[in-house]
Amino acid sequence: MSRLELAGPPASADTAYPPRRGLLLRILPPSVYAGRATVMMERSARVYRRAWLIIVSGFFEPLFYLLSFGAGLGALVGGVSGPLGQPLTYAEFIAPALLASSAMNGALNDSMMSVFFKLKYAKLYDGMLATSLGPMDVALGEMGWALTRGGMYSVAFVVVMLAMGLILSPWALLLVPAALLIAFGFAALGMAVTTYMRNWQDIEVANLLILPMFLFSGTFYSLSAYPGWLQFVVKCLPLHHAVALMRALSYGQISAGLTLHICYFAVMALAGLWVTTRRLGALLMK
Amino acid sequence: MSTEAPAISAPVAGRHTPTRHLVRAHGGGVPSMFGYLLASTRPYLKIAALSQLGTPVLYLLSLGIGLGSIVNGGSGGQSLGTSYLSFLAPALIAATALQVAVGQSMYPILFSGFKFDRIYYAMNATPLTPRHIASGVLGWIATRTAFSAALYLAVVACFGGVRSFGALLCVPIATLGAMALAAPIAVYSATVETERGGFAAITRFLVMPMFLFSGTFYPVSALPEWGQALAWLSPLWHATELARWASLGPLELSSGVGQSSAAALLGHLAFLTVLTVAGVLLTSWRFRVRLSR
Repeated sequence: MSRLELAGPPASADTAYPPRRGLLLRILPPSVYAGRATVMMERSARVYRRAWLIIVSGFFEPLFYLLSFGAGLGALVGGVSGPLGQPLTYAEFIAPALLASSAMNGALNDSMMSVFFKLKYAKLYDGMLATSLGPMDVALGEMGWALTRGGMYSVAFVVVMLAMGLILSPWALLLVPAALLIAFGFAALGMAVTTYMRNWQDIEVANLLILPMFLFSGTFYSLSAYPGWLQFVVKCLPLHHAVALMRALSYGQISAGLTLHICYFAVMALAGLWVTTRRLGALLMK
Repeated sequence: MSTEAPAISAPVAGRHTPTRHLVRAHGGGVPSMFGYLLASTRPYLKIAALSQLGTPVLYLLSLGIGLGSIVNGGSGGQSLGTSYLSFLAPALIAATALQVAVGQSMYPILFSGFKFDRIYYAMNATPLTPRHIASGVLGWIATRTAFSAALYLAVVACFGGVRSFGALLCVPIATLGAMALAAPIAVYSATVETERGGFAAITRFLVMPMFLFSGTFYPVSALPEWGQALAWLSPLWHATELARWASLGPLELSSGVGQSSAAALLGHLAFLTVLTVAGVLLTSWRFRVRLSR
């Protein structure tokens, strides 16, 4: 009680909050977006300071896959041919695809399980939306945190690829921004889907749908192993576009076709953000 | 594959926790624990069955057949002496059993058992003893694990990956291998007070590397010396060796895949048994300590 009184209302709006700047702030109503998404990210960073092991451990998963499959399975498989038929070692073949799938997994972890818990059990967003924050602040903040984590993992993984001599072209500098775009797309999609989840069984179903994407999107072998109809289905899935984009960048096969992959994720990110904002508003601001 | 677990387990005890009724019906002890655990799983039965059938189908399609096509086509086909699918299947059964058992021995024990739902405290207030509770929980994990291993084997058989009747032995072997890791983890789950990433670390630094470096996808001889030494410490490698021996050994493949000396087989069995027994005893002890506080 006394603390509330002490804090009180801010003396004047512009000493308490930074002035409203930027395109989003001009086109969106203050009830949807207050330009304060960074406080969400700050909150996540503070929470995870006590569970830093979770953050650190995320980096090792793609690394273990690369070491295990690259070395051991590489010996069984021998060489493989790349997207344009060029000969590659097995490690060179899977490394960019592992970067893409780890961007996906990282983004989905942060935007599904953890968001569902905060939404249903911790009731975190109810409290936040009672302040000046709007649903888009929450959505952008959570996705921003997922991207920050994803970004750190991607930089670390690209450094490992460089150290192991798995980077074949200077275009690979673009692997990190591409990983961020992919993570943004998946984080937005994941969070949008999560707002529709009713219980943990729904999460299990979602996981069961993510697994085939990881297994079938051409990470470990090329799509030509499939019959034609299955190739078509796989080519519609987001992870396939992520894998194709990463391979093109790391082998330096730049073409106009890459715009398609980039547009796919840009649309996914914007649509996911829009749906998440709408749904959070509908769920929590009744 | 996503390994980050949720911040909380699925709530196990529903509105009508059937413990008391079942304790009376079964006269207490471990059977009543089983009754409770079975009843509490009922709401999740459909999705659990879907996931335990779906996962092997997807893995076998993708890794057994897809990856198999480039292994069989490359130099690997000859060096294995059998199809990649039949090489992979026993190991995948053991690895999946391990993941099922480990998943059950972490969040459910700490969160529904000791921390949030606190069902073990409620059980402890009945005629059940901590030893009943601990052995009931571990026995239940083993039963579930055996069930999913059997289901996995059935799917493998549908894919044509079973080459001998010995493959049936994969089910008990995979269960023993899984409990050799899950029981020690249950000791940790029953001990830890506040979960701060320990479970995520177990998943990422123990289970995931074990899955990848225990000769699941290729013989461990493809690893450098230190990697092979590490594989010795992995319960999954011992279980995989036993499962390969059971399902491929009787065929006496020219590549030697699945062949093990009697001493090696006994060694694998002894390693797994010691870990399991030690884990079960220590879990009982930790349950007693925590529940009597």
